[in-house]
Amino acid sequence: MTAALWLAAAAWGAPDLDAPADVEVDDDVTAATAPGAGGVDEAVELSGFVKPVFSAVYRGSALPRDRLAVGLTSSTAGIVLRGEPVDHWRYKVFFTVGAGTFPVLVGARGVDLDNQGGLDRVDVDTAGALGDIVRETSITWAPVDAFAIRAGRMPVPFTSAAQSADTALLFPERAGPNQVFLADDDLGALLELTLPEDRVLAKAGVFNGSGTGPSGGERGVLYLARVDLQPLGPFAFDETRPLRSKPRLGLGAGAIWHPYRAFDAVGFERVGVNDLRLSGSFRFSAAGLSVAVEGLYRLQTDTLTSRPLSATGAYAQGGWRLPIAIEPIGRVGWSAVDRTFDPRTTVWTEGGLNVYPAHGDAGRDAIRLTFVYQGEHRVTEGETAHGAVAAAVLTF
Amino acid sequence: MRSSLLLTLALAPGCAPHLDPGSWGTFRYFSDVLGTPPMRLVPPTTDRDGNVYVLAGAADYPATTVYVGRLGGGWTAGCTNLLSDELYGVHGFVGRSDDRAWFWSGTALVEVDGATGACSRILRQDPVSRSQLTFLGVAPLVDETPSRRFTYALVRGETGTPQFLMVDLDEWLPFNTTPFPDEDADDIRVVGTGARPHDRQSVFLVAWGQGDDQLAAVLTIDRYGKVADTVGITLPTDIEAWSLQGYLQFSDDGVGAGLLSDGSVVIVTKSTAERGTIDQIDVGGVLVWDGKLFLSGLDGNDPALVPVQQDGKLGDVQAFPAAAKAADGLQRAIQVSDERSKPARDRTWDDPRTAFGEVPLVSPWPLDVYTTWSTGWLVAGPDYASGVEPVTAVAFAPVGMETP
Repeated sequence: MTAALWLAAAAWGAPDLDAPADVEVDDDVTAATAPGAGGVDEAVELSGFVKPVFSAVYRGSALPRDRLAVGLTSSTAGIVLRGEPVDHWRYKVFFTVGAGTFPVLVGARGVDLDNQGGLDRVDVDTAGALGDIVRETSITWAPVDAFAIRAGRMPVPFTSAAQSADTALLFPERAGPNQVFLADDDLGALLELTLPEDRVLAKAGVFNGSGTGPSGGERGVLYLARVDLQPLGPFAFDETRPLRSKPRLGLGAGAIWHPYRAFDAVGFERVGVNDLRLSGSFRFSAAGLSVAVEGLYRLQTDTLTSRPLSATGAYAQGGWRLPIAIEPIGRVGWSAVDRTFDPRTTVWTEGGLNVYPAHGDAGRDAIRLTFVYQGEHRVTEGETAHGAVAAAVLTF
Repeated sequence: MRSSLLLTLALAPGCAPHLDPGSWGTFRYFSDVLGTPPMRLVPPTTDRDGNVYVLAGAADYPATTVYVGRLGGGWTAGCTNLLSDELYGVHGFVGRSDDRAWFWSGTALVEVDGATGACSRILRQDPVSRSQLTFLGVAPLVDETPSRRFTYALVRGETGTPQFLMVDLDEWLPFNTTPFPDEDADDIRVVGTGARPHDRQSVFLVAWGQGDDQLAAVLTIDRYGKVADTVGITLPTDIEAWSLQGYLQFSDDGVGAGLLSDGSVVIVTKSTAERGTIDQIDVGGVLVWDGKLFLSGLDGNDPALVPVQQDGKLGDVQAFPAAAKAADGLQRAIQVSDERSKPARDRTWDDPRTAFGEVPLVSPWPLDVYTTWSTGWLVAGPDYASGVEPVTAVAFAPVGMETP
């Protein structure tokens, strides 16, 4: 009986069984993120999330110490402050604070084990420290609905996944290939253009390029361009979505070009680098089903080494939001790095369930529980790791 | 800027810019090294991060120095691993990882840190008994996974018979020790080592006993440090340890070849091992490229290759145009980037020549896959007298590679 209800609900154009019949849940997020969109007219609006993640990872060929890692791996809290204190001028401040810390050196002493006057070992003392907690601090000027300029620190919207909110991911983390190719948060300015009915979204920006790998001391500007076509109408980038009655299609392409110069220790130019990254995405959603496929490519050349760096990757993921507030999810990812000299291939396989316990309430997506199997297959090295992840996301 | 963008976009769909076969990339002058060509150097290697490692030394020269060239330019002054208590020096690189490389010199296994250029001897002592460990042979193989890195060695303590073991390159610990198969063997001599990276196997060419009682075999060690296979071979009586130049090198099919110091060639398949002489060419090296195995050398004055087939038989002599073109590229003055100090300066070398070997790309040591279409080589520049022996300027450069 239940299965029959699922199938009935999933049928093309079928009404949402649980949601009120008069609710159209198509365009809410896109509307909120469109360049000139309003929706936030208070001086301060507070929102956020809390996301504890429990994981168990088994890596059979590791040292016994590292073979099985079980525990609460992170507990992240995000706080978003946003508002429009002046007409057409908006701001957004987004902090994330995680329970995970990284060790910092607080003390070191040399050890002469054999009393021969030499330094045989260095004993160090470390303490945990929080990393960068700022995810976004930006100001947006949107004189009209179709046009906006955003400046400050923000995620670089290079891929489809990068444009999805942290709380709206289908899985606890973005796809493995995305982590390989993605530019991190960065300082810059972004021009956003939305053509009528949100069917074309275009973005162009300049950033410092500090999120794409260079360790510092380089000089250069990162250029970004991204175009998304949504021929069937507005289509939010959120990966997990409520039941909907209308199909949506998204085709997108992004490019990052980061030319920079690196200098030696005395300040003279040593090498010029060109870092190019390309992405292409296909997204489709209908009747609770959401599918996304994304391909990624990177080529980095320089003026010194005659050794280009090349990498490719892709992933496909899908979820089917069933009327009983359960969403089976699956994802396959692949990446090949160092393709120009010693290709190293990794395949990720993931599958599981999202559960929405508050389904039917007003804030029905405010709480989501995720249970996922994660497999990482290092094809070149011949090692496989298996993991189970349970995560909860509570938004407010 | 616009032109570089157009160039990058044009190259984007999978066509990274190539060095043509035999063409040289940027010459990076890193140091002045004792000696004149042919110098005590082995072909350089690189790690995944792009750091370049140059190893100076020779089997009959106890001082070993390793230089590290960083991806973004600049070189370390050289880490000297002086083994004054040993009779032998460099055997060659063992392998590399993301940001470091390992080499075998004398009876030591040494790690080189690509970020700092520091070199450290690994497992100098047995961690339990504290007895000195002697690395009789180290296979040119680093078996790497995300969680561990191993190499494989035949090691002797101060007492007892030698044992094969896995060396954990992260924790510097021995694992899975396996006694030498012939428990009564005496005077065990590692003639040479090699690896079948495709099969994750290490290979040790070992002789033991003296005179007419000498025995010799090719022992294959599996990924877990166990003796997987033993194939007998006839070697010259009383052959000395480390008589193999460079390493035994293997094709993806599992057939291997190596060059002995008397000029003969050892050919190894999975079931046979033979030593013989080659008269098709003047053999100067062994080459594995793109999974295929060749003997390399000179046919008259021209670089040439002889393919080694899966059954160990030799194919017809073929020209080696990449080596010929690389040699021709050193017949004229070259521009080098002098990276010995900061900032780098451009210089001209009027009379460059290959720093080792008779021609570029011919060596008994494995050639690094710098890219899938190029390898690294060392070029000598001007030399001058010093108190002990002449000193020669040496530069690293990538050179385009292609086999028939």
